[in-house]
Amino acid sequence: MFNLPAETFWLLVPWPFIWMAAGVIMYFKMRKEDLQEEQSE
Amino acid sequence: MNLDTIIFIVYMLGLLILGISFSRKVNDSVDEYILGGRSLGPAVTALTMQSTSMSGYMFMGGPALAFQQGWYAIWYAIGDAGGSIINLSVLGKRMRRMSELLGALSPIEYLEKRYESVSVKIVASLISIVFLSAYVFAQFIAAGKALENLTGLSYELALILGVGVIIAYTVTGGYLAVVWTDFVQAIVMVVGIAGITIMGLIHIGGLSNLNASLAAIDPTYLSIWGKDLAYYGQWGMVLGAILIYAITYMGLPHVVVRHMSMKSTKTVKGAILVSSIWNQIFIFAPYILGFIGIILLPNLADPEMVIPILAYTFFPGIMAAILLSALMAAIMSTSDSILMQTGTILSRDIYQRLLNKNASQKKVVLVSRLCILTVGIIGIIVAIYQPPSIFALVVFASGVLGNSFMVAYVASVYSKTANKVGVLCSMISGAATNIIWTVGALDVVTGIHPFLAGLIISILAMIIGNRFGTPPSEEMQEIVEKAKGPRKIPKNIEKHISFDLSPEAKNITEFMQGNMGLSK
Repeated sequence: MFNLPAETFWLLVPWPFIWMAAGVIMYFKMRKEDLQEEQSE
Repeated sequence: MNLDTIIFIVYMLGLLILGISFSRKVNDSVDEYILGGRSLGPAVTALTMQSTSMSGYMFMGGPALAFQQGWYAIWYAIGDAGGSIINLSVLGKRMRRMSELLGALSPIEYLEKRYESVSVKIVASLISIVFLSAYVFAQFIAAGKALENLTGLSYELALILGVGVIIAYTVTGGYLAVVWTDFVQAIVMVVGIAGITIMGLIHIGGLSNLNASLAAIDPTYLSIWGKDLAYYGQWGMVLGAILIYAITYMGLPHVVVRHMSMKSTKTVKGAILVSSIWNQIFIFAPYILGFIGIILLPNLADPEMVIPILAYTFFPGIMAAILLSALMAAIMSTSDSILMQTGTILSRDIYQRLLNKNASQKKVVLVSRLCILTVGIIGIIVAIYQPPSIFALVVFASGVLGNSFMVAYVASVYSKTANKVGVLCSMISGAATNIIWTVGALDVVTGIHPFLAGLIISILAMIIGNRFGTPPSEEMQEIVEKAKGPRKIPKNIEKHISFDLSPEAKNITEFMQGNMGLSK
């Protein structure tokens, strides 16, 4: 894929997607925490 | 005068006006001048954090590494792309709460108050000033080199002009000027680099063609182990390359101060999302341009100039002007933050807290401004006389700062019992290990990156040192507990709470009804 060796492709290329997913997950996790904090105040 | 030079001058003037416009607001208040009155929202926090983190290294050092080593350089980008997510998730909320509870205005004051020790402040100030200065001098050299090559001015004149603008708005506008100019510059950086990368990839026929051309020159450019497989099997080097930018930001004083200046803990979630998107668009592009340089500029003498020369050779005109502005944006947004922090440490942590405890707010702001000016002028002189490699200097300085402070900041909010002996051992041994490893070239012998070595030693030193010092005061332990946020009931208790309490509630109801003579 993209003329890269398989090792290079699978070890390096997925990372932008992994980090983006991590960012979105953390956003929703923290939104939930913020809502819980608001309710408990 | 060329169109690109005019666009660039207008951009610099715009930044100068924006920065100086904050001078009236911050004139006499230390809190406003040093921390912007803790008023920053998610987008500004995210973009100032990222443009500060991404220095001239991203336009010069990073592409040079890609030009020399091929796809191996992407290991550095991978860690970098997740750095802000890790930093904000781990430290964001807790450090924001803790800094307010402690009443700390600078990252060094924060360490002093959290660990209840003046020694911590002295050691932290010394390490910060030396290595933040090295970091900012590298940025100045990058600014001079870029402007010299692109505008035709002499290195010295280019350096004085470029750095002069940074110093002017930082001295007058303080922290708010720094973060708002950073915000604008982050947008310029991402537009500039994305534009030039798209044009570069179109020019070369796409990513697949780029890789095919690289393989035709030398197939090892496509390897994860570097050109000529120089790092073959050295997972210690790979792990260090990833970690240095994935977690170092948690130890850089000019970056962690962004946690302290957020409007509230609710700012963190938006900042994570904005910085995640910005990172994925920005961070990989300079390395791809380094690869394009291997093909289009095979005889390039100075690999650090690969991006500017690509832009000016193949895409002259407006694209080159935007690129020059983006490059200067990266340099300026990092330099202003470091200058600001150095001034803060010297004025707040050394002058006000050690030399003149009764100094008025107005006097502290004045001293801070003078310190920023002095460090800036020293930086210009050093950059004129000692221009070393930008990549080596940035990696070294950020590595030492990360090894010194990362464990200290993380432990400050996650461990109630982390004490001053532990943190002193951690800071000193982390810095010393990185310096010895780098100067002695021990990475070549051991296959372990200096940052990884420093990280392991600083963690061990914190654990061992903690056993010897006295625990923090009860009051401090309570503050750490509060900084963790509102207490949550564990899930297993929450699940059974109504079932467990129902017999008790029934008894109380019956008792009250009996006592008050109420019928069912």
